[in-house]
Amino acid sequence: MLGKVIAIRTVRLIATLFAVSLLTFLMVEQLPGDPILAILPPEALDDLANIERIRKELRLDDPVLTRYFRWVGDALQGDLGKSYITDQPVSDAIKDRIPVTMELAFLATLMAAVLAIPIGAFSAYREGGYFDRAMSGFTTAALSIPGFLAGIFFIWLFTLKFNWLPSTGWNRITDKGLLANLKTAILPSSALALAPLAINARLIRADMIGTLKEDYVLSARAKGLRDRYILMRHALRPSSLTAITVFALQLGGLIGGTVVIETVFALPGLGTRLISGIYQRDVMMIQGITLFIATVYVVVNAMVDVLYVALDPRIRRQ
Amino acid sequence: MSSAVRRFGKAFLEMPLVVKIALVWLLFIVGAAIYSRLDRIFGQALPLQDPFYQPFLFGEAKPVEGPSGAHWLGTDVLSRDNLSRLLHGSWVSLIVAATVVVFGLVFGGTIGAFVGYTKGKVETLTMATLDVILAFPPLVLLLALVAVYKVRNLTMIALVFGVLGIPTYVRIARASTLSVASREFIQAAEAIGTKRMAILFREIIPNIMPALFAYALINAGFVIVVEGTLSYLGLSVQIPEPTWGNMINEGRRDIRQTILPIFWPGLFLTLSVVSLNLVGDWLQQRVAVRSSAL
Amino acid sequence: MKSSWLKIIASFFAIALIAAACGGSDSDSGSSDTASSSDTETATTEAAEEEVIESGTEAEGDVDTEVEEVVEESNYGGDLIIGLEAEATGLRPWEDACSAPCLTMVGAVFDTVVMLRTDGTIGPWLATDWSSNEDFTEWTFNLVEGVTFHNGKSFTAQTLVDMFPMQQVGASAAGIVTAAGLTEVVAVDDTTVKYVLGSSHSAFPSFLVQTPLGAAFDAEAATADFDGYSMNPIGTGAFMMDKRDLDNETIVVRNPDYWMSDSDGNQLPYLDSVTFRPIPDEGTRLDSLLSGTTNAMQTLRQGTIRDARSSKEDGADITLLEFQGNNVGGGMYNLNNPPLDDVRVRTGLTRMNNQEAVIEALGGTGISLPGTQWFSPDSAFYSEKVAAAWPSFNYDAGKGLIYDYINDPERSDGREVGENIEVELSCPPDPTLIAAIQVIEQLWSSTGMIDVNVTNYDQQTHIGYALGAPPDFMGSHGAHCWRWSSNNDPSTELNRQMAPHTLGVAAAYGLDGIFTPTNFFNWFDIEVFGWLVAAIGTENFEERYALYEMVMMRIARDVPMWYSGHTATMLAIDSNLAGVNGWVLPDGTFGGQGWSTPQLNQAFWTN
Repeated sequence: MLGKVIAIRTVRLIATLFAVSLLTFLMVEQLPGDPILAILPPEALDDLANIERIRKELRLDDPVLTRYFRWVGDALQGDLGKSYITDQPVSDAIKDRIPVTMELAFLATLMAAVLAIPIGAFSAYREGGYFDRAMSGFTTAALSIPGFLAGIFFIWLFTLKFNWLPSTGWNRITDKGLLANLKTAILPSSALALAPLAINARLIRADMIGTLKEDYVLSARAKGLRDRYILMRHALRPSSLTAITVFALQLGGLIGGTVVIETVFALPGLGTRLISGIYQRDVMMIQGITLFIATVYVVVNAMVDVLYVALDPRIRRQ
Repeated sequence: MSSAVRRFGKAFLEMPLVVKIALVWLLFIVGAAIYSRLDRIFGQALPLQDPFYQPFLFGEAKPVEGPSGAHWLGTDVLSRDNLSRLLHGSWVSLIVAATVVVFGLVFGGTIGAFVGYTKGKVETLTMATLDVILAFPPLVLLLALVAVYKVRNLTMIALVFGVLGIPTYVRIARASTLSVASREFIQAAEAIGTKRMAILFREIIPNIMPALFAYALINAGFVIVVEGTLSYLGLSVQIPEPTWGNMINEGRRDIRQTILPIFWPGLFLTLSVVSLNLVGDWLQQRVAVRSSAL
Repeated sequence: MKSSWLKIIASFFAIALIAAACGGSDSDSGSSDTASSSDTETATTEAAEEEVIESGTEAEGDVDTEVEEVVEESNYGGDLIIGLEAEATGLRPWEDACSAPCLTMVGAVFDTVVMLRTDGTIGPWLATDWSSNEDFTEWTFNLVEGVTFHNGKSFTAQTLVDMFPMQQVGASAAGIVTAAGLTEVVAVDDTTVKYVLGSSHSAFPSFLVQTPLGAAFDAEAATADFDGYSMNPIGTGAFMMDKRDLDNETIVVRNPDYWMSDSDGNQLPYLDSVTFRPIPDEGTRLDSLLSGTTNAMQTLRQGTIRDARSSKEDGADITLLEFQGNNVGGGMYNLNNPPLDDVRVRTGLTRMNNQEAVIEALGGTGISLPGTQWFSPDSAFYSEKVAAAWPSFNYDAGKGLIYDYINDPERSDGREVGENIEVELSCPPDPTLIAAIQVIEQLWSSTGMIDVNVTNYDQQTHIGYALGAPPDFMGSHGAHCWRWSSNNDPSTELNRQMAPHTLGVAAAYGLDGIFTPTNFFNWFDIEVFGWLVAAIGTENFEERYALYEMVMMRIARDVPMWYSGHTATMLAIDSNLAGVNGWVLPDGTFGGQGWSTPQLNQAFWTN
């Protein structure tokens, strides 16, 4: 049963990825302006022979589909071409930036998950109490504040006012160690974590309100077990299944969501490169990064689907 | 008509206080947006200042003034009236959000109900196509799309948002259709030989609409955030047209001179999204209660 | 270890700062906004005085004698972190387009054949001296001995010869090779190189100041790994590439075998390492300096200079080094695009440009000088006559000219008499330019006679839009934001921008094959072209001055661009840092380019 689900999912995944790559290529292909103008500085454009040479070299005059298939063929072998502007291979640029984007997304997911559990659990435990109401206000606000605004606010508060944390720059773990790394990662990932934190807290709360009314929890209470014990042992456990899948889904979503936050904090991640690629008309870079992000997004979502089926006995039985 | 008003009045009274406030805020924003455009049509006939006018150019004022009788929310570094720019900006947010909602309800709702009800190859094909669009994180797809256009005006931005918004509506409409279609009253209608298209439009679509509308409110909040983000990156409606996002973008440069041009749009943006979420949540709960009572 | 001459640089710039402050007050006299401008003025003067005291000079003169008394210890060691405006697209001098942040990095890793002096003349660097033949078509340079690349290879005349084929096709060098008319590079012996030109150019060494043509790179290594050279550049410079993490940080370390010593014979450079951090947001870059995350920062934005000044007034322990670059910002008109083909429209639009207000909107009141020509008042080529002839701000006069045009039955845009003209106004989406463009838009559309379409494309499209597409390069822009000029010789820029804009135009004047896509005005005047050619046929300054003055007068009459002020730039540095704002050439003269590109091979920590 599970094998069949995986097989169907895989076939669909491949078809989707193929369509995604075609769409990405065609979309970016529509960018106005001759790429040659992006490649050469204005002073070098009076040399028409040189222009011809570069056009030939990059095979810019081939038909669209020919170029698409060449691009996809190369992409399958891990070669996404090289930037028109910097001559850097696109796959190298992506490789350098994955750790930053992934760390941000991962930290945000982690923060959202770890903080949401006590918030959600306690809100449910004292449903309708002060804490619950305060948290419901917080989650509504956290869900509504745009990430970039939260980022600007954090910079204003923690850098300008208190000068606790740097507002920009990225310390790589490999160079400077974990602590220095976290100092640069904490603000952006917090800004990123707000919305998923709110969603998780709400989900966990709703789920636990249901669980707390189940018979076995009621009987545990009747047996005189301590509340905290009941909360962690009996109520939280059944809820964790939904939670895990939600967390996994968020991780996929956040890889796309880091784009703006990276720009606000000027971090060397995929998003910053994508945006600067757009500003510079760096066609190869935009195509490569868009394809990469979309691929990760699709694959993570497909894996979550499968995971969900694998974990949830109810669905498996159907 | 009067019964609709009465029903709305009854619903309004049942709302918790915060939801009431949220609804009032939303009505205020919609009113302000329309008012700002009326102002543009009638050419300053109404008491609202020109959002483009920079009196300091003609020696009439100095840049950056605090709130005053003449400028309730102060002026920016180009001596423009913050309030007027905010209200004009709300039009952009309103139009983009409304376009997505209308496109979503009309096209998304119909397509979703149709494929959910008729099933078959059309359904498979439609859902597979939508999967491709949903395969991109929304912001990344928008970035790649808007970068293509040389001139970005409101019509174009609203259309791009509207079209890209459809797939999620289709998904939701299809899912609700699947559950509605299994209900007794549909099966009864089918049994007495009612035409399938008639069932689709008379029974199914009206029944899935409340849930879809509740989603639309929450989705509108999300759209406003995404538009604001795009504006902030300078990739939505272009200057000199004010939008909340591009006001924040412009204001960041002069944050040491005046924080007001960032503060106000940030506040408006957040309050509007909070309000949409509150009203949407409330409606969703009501719909859920109703449908479980059916 | 003592270093006497670094102080001279500090003094020199302190004086420049006073001059700038004075200039600022001149410009304020016409402003209605007296209260705030006098505030700024005082602030500026105070800042300047502090500078003077720190530098140990009390008066504007006597720099030479002063230096004997004021001696500052320079120390070896220490690291420096600099906040730059942007990441460099690449560090291959002959290939990658390079602006201020990139030049900062390139300048640390590479040496150029010659260097700019503060007065705009050319001084020695890798070349000790040079001469040309009678008609300026052959230039012979004698090179310093004992210079090695970071990879141990020797720098000789042959190095420059080997570079040439790559420069001829290099994306950024090819255009300069063409502009200089450079046809051949010959190694006479190990330390003598000869540049052969196709036509006379009396200012040829100016091209060797520019990194695309003048920076020495190892052609063999560059050929072996063409793309990789950008990430791992090999030069002869004071610093060697250690780590390049794009968009995050680039670290260069001391070159222990650097060829240059200071005047006391101490080997350069002093610093152990330099880290470059691209921080695109202006406010964040300043905050990083104030919070000590970085030790220095550069900016080209007047608003940031204003903010830095007020931070210093509030007690921040930083030194501000300001420069009035010989560069002017503003916008131009494309003559291919009616109604901009009519001089009344061009002059009228420029007349409506309230430059004081634009500068104020950019945050540059008391910081940037208003522009009237490509040369700033500090430049040797500045002309009072041109300044007087410039169509300066006169709103009603401007309206009158536009009124004339729209009521002219023969109007060139084919519209009905009395109908509004339509103008596309375009600037890149840079935060400062966004403010500037909205001011201009408002000034123009307030007349009720001009429909302004504002567009802002990214930098790349913006340039591409003005260039047009090969092979004709007929840009389709209207009124277009731009910057002009540099501290380098005027010929390096003017001769190209005023050449025939199409091959057809060239042929019509018998100038077959001479054409440039960088004539963004699409305006050609054979007389102007003649003057510019004459100016590179002579070394006589008076003659050249007169010729460039004539060119500027003609521009003021026929294609008056609108100006938004001379480009003020600033280096804000930790007050314990010295020697970053200029350089001493091997012959003991002082170099600088009037631009906030920090110089690192003579920088040091004072404590």
